[in-house]
Amino acid sequence: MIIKNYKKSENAVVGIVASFLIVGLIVAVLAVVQTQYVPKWMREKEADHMSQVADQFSQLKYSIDLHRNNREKNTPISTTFKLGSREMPYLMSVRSFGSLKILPGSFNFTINNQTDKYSFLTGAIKYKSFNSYYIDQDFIFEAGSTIIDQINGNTIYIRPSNFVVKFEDKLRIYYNLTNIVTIGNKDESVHGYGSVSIQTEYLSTFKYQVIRTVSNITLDTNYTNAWVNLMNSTFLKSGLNYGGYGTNYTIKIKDSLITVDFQDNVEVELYLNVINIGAQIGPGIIEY
Amino acid sequence: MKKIVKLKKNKKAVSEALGTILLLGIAVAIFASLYFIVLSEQFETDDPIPSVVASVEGKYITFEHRGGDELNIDDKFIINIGSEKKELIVGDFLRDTNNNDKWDIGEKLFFDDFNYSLDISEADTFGYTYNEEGGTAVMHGTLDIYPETDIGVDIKVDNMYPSVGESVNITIIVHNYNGDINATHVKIKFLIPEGLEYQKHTPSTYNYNPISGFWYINDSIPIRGSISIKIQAKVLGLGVIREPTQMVMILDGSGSISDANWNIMVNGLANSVNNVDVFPRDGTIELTIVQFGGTDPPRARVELGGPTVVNESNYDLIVDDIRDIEQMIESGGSATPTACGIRLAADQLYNFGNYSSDKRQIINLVTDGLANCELIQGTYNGTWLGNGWYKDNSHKKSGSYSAASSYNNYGEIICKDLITEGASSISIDFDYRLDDTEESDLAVYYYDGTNYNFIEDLGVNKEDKWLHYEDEITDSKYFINDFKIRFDTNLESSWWYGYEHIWVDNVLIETDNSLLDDGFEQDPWNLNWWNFGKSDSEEQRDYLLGLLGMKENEDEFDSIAIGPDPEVYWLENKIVWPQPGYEAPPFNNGPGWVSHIDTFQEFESATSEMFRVLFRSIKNSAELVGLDSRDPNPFNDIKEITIVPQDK
Repeated sequence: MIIKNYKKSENAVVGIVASFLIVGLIVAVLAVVQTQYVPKWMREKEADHMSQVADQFSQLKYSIDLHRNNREKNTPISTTFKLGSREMPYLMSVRSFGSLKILPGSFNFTINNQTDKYSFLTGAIKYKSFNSYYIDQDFIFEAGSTIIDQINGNTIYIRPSNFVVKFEDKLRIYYNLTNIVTIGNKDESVHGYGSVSIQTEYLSTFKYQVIRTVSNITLDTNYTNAWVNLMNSTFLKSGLNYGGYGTNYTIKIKDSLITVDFQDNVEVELYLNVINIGAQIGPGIIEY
Repeated sequence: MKKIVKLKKNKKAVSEALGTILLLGIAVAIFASLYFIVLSEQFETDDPIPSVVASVEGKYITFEHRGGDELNIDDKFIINIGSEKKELIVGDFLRDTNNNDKWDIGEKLFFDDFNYSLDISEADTFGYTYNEEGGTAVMHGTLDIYPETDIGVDIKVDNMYPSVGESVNITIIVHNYNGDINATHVKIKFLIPEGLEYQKHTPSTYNYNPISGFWYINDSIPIRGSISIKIQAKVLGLGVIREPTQMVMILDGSGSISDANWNIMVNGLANSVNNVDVFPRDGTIELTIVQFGGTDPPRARVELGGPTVVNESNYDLIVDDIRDIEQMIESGGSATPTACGIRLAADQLYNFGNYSSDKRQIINLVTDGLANCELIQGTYNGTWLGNGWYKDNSHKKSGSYSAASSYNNYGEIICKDLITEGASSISIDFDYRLDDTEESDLAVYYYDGTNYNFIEDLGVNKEDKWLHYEDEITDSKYFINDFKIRFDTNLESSWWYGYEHIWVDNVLIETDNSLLDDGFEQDPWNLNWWNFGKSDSEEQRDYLLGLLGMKENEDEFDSIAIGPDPEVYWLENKIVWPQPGYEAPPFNNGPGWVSHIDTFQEFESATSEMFRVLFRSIKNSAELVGLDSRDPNPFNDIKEITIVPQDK
């Protein structure tokens, strides 16, 4: 009789079913958000961060161009980089990281003319991302250019301060080659996800007023595609011919070496300045 | 009490609550498990996030992948040019440099199915990518496609030194070096200058108006093509309007110039100033003369200044003053403090002349030797550094020449900046030969970014045979961006010491790369080397340009180099201005020239020639003033000619 009474009571069943359904709904929504939207949001967040780093590299180039133009010593300029992006609150996600590094002597620029060979080894600044959702991208300030590099290639993001002028059979190339050197051999790299500043300052200019009758130039770089595209674009825009009859120059690539050979039908003069810029990563005043 | 006991015994609600909690726990556990199982699955949910930039390169509209996710070759781009709508599939226009059938960073689409037109200035671009969920826009923008044409103007004259009454042919050539379209409605301005009279132009059908000076080119100039016109004009004579000018002659009075040659020089200069056909007396020219030389100490001084404006009433006195300038020579020396002369000239013109940046400033350095003194800051005195090294063929380890130093030519020689930063070692090799030397006669220094550090005294080694120097630098203080090696010699000649000489050949400096490989065979032999006398002169020249605010299209720094000793290459590439300098005559490339003469006897004619070109020449330019398309390069749009009329 007592058992019969229990069977007839349905008070608790409604509460349980309702709770069951609510929990199920919450879990289902969370699961969808976590699996469908969180990766998407995080990808966009990391892509936005990459854009932010690109902007910060533009700011770095601007600072270095200012140094070059003003040539004022002992006036450092700071540029801040955000190395990584944070994870999302409450939901499960992974933060991204990044590193910033000064790479001395990573780019070699060699010019040969009829009588001599000039060789310049220059340093670079490199940001490397460690993303979890979006493709990893590196940004490099090398020899006056800003380059973006990722696993499937690289390209010039901001061109260097050079220009080319054509006069009849003569080509004048004006090039400010920027050399990054570390100050006091300190703080060459930093890794993390927070903000970090890099301080740059003008050190000196080594001025070659003109190198005449340039027969070839060679670049030793890890970013061959970017530099080849840049040179082709610059020379073609200035009126040189590439390939076929009447070609003015040829480009050869072997591993990390790019060689541009100028033909006899064009006389090339290179107006070169090598600008030495000191860089120090980390907070505080520039210390020697 | 009974009630309480009754309640305690009633377990009906407890069982229901317990059941609910248990069931809830089971539900949470099941869904939690499901949640974590589902979590571990990676869902393909993402639209690509690429960065695509559209631009115009020559005859192409290009779309460059600037990073981010790769795109598919079946994605679509739409371009609206004028009223035309063009749809392109990525794969049809992609230069897939890594051949992976994807559009990756650095790769471009080259779209050439359009023609530039002066009527269309913009193109709308729109790019889509597709996946199972549909299309997503990856870029949208408007491009400026207004055509460009790089026009260059050149002008030549068949006789730069015509006699009065003669005719000259002036040829103007207009090039379309490069561009998007043929150049149309090109308009060039070339006014017949004062002193010339227009006679005719050929082809006569060309639309040139000698009154207005405009040449309207009716034909279009094809890309990489050119068109020219020849204008014949009669030389009437001088009569050019001159602008107020400050001119300073910086004269080398060093000991290498004999009394006789000094007299030839100052009299030559006086004669030129006295010649009204070459040097005007109309009050437009302020003349300053600075001399540098001496040994006690090496120095510079003002010989004429204050300011001195040459006019009809004072020119004869000025000429006499020039003839009376005495050479600054003391016994037993030959210092050439070029830096002192340039510094004094700058300060004199700025502080004591009628200086105005609006006036034309002309600087002329006359020298017969090598800059061999360092300026003592705050003075116009210098410190003598020795005569410096020279190119020699009497002894060489290989090739035809070596660098030599002797009892007459000693001092320092320093190589150009070498970037050794990032290296782990630097190897230094060179050959050297000694003759009658002893301790301290040949010292080797390395530069560490701040100091030249003494490394070794080689003067004590065996003489009269070629010796080899080798060193491996591993000290990190030398791994810098301006490493240098320096040789210092201190040589004598006497009965007791003998006639001391040193030769150096085949200098090889390497890290992982070859930084310097110099056998002193090239011309100039010391292309890779300098000394403090030269670097100080360059520094003072920069000071002068800055102090006087010199402008490229108005002012100039030129030089007359006399005899075999001056380093013409150095003057041409480091001193004269604007750069690049050139050797003259002919003075056909504007200001910034070096006139190199063999002897002092030629000095008067060289200065007269210079004054004619500066003050009595006819200068005029042909300039691009009209074009339908845009010219991206203004540097080659104007070119000047100089005609120096000669009296019959």
